[in-house]
Amino acid sequence: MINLNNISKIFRTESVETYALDSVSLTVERGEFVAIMGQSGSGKSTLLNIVGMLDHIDQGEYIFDDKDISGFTENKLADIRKDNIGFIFQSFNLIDELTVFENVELPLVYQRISKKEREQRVLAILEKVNIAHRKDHYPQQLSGGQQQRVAVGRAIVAEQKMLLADEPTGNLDSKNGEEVMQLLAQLNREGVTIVMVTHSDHHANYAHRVINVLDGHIVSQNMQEARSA
Amino acid sequence: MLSNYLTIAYRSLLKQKLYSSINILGLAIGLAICISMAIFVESELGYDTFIEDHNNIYRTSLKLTVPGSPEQNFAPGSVYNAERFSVYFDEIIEAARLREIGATLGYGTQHFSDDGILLADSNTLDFFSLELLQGDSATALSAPNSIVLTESAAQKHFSNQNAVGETLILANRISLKVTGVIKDLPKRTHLDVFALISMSTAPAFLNNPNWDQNPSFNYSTYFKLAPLTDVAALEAKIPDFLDNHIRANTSDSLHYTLIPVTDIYLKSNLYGELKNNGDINIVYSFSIIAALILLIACVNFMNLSTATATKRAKEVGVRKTLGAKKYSLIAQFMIEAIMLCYIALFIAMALVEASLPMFASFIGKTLSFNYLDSTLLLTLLLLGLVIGIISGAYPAFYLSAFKPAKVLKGEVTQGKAGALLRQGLVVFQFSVAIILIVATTVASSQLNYARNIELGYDKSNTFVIRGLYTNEASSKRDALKTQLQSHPNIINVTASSRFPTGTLTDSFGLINPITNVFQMMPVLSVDEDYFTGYNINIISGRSFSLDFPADKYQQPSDENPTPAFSVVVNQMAAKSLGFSAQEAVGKQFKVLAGRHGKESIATIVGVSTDYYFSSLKTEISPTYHLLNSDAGYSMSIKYDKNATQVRDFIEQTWATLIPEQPISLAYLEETFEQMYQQEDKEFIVFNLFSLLAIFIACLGLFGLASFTTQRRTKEIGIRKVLGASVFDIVMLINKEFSKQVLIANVIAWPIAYLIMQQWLNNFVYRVDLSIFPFVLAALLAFVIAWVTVGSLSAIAAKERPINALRYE
Repeated sequence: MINLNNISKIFRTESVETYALDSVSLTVERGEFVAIMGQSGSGKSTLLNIVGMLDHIDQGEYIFDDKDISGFTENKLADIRKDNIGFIFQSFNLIDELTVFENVELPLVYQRISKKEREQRVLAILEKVNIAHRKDHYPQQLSGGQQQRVAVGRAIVAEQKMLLADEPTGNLDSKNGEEVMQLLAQLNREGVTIVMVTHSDHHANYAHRVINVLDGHIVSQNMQEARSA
Repeated sequence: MLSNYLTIAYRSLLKQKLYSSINILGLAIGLAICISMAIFVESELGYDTFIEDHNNIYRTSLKLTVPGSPEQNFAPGSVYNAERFSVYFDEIIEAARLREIGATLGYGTQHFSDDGILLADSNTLDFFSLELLQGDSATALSAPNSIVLTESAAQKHFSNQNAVGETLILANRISLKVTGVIKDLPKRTHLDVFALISMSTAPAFLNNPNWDQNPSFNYSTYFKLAPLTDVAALEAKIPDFLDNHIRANTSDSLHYTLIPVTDIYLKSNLYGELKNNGDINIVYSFSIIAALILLIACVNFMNLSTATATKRAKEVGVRKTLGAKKYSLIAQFMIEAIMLCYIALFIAMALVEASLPMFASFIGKTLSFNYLDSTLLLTLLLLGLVIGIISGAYPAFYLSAFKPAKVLKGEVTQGKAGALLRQGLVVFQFSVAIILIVATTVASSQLNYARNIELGYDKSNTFVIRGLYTNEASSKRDALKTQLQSHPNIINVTASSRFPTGTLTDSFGLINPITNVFQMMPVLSVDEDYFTGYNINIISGRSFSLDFPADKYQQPSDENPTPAFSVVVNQMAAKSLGFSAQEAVGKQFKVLAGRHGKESIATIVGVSTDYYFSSLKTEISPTYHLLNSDAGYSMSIKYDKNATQVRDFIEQTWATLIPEQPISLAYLEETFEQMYQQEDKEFIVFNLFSLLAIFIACLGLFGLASFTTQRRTKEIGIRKVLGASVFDIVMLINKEFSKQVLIANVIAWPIAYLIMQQWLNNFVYRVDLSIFPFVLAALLAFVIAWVTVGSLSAIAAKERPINALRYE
């Protein structure tokens, strides 16, 4: 599904050029659950952002679903993202001014799906992530775990094939963190490809493969038996 | 501490070059306009205060109302008012009259036609505090044939020689002895004085020993009243005086009021003013628009400062953590605001210095900007301080209220009250912009209407000659006409007492043939070629013709006490007399020279269309035309081609026939344009200000849109991650501002309607106030908002979403 060949990401200031990622190659197969680990500043979030087409690469090649998207415009990338990828962030990134329902509904609005269908799909997803009873609440009225469940709901409501999660449990206590991880594992079992950045060895155990990043390089990749939910 | 504040302010200014430039530029333009307007307004105020006792000096104004005729207003009054009013009213201490005579002055072969040659009562010099440089003020204007020159006049006629004792010739026939030289009058006066001729010269000049016995309404009459006189009470007594001491029922048609001499310049724009006066409405409207522009600039300042505030949040947090008190932060941001204001002020002063000569020349004023004057400088510095405090207050309080714990974590919250205030400011700016757009559109269509209205006469390819009333010119009128007609390119020459674009001030009384009621009606003396020359349609009957000797106007005389003659009336006159255009032909009415004057019999031989003789501000008068070429004080010459050749020919012919009088020649189209020249200039200045106001409002909107996109950076990023297109984001942000523009329209429309309805009321013939300017203003406001906000939000939306999320 994803094939990164020798990609590099360089951050430049007036006097310094820093390789956030240096000639990294990575393949993610459909249905995989991949965990990316590494210290702060190692480049793992940059790698995730590039996989999610939120950031551009400076060198190398990015093949997504057999298409080289390296030179795509922002608008084209947005279209691919819209149809294929859902995002979950450490800080949830819900829009404060919108209710739970409206937050989850947003990707469907941008896909120009009819109001009636949106309503059905959003309600179904809210049930799935167990937050339907809070659908009219605003994000600031929810706990962290509840907010992240909303974020997961939003990430999958458009039936994206792939879910990218940047430390999805980073702002949650262990109980809530565990709940979110089980939700992700369940989605993976239903066929959603998941790439997740995490600091937690425990949560990395939910993945099929763990990639370790250090100073912009992938230093190891370990296949493992994924922990069941 | 202060130096630390200034350093930070300076660096922050440099760091945010775009915002600082917009902020300073907007404020500088606003201040420059405000200063220019203040200079203009100041130059329009304080007129005639050089006259000692100006607080007690008043001039009469006359309103003439006669049934069947439009109301007419005159600055001059009757010749005998000065004496008769002074005798009757104890409140009047002293009176003085001035009469503009428009005659040539010179000697030998040198004769000049200058404005400001006035007949003046003997007390004029002391009455108006005119400073005499040579001569005796008590006697200079006493004796007949005396003239007092201004320095300019003395210089013009006698160069550096001593003028006193020299002789000048008035109207090529009356010798005047120079009895004094006065200083040129100050610029700020409604008086237009080049030379003053003793009033006792009037019988000779007017060829009439009884010149002051007939009600000649040509004399500007001034009264010095006793201190503390109740002017309203005095005015209230005038009608009784007129009816009992002038003639019964005079107050039905003549209404005198008293205007303070210091108000004449700005508040009196009547027929026969000594010179073109200013207009208090212009002073008011320019002041209001200047104040609005400054206010808009201040609003911008607040908006842009708060827009950049989030970038200063961390600094506020750190300062607070290190022990800064709220008031010290307020002081810091206030100082920054004041510093920016002073930078803007200095740029504004440079802008004023550079643009004032152009502005002054355009509006035809002498304006100067002496910024080294300590009072002015102090005022400007104070202005900068006040604007700095007003503009800086909100950003200062807003910034200093940031909670350190939150801002250091990057959470800058926006209070609802602050958001409401900012939205209110945008609504205010847009309301002003919409009102200005409506105003300029309506004004533009009204002025266009005035230019393109069917006038009812043809003003093209026409020269006009004025000043055919002097003995020299009038004696050669027929010869002039005959010679001019000989030119192959001249197709018509016609003489008339006045020509279109002038004012109909001559009225004869008549007896309405149906109601038998006395009424006054404006009258115009023309010759047999008038209607053809101006292409004025005769819709029934016929025009004057020399084939009908009975057409010619005759005054009652001993030999012919009740003469008969023909008249051509316009449609309104026919209507005023109670006839349709067709019915009127052949009807007769009695004409009276005065209310108890001798009767003549007028027969209507033709009815012309109504044509716009004067400005559109004046209603078309019911008018009757007399065939009276002796009163042809002006001449119009219509040509088919070769304007330059024709002009040369007219000038040469005049110079040959009437060498002693300079020709006063103009294009009729030019005199037509001159009627609206002042309005045109005011319109252009108003348009310019409106554009600048809209421009500054756009700057403010840009600031606020920038603020909004900054505030919503995270949201924009999230929406983009979720699939929003650039268009979706632009629509999202525009929607927010569209609401404010909509509210601004709701507020602005009724205000603009009331203002423009009031303005249009100045015009008798005016465009209807349609919905179009309002819709246009609304559309423009939306377009301005969408383009300004849209471009900014498009830039934000085009950013890669990760940048937005990193911001978080």
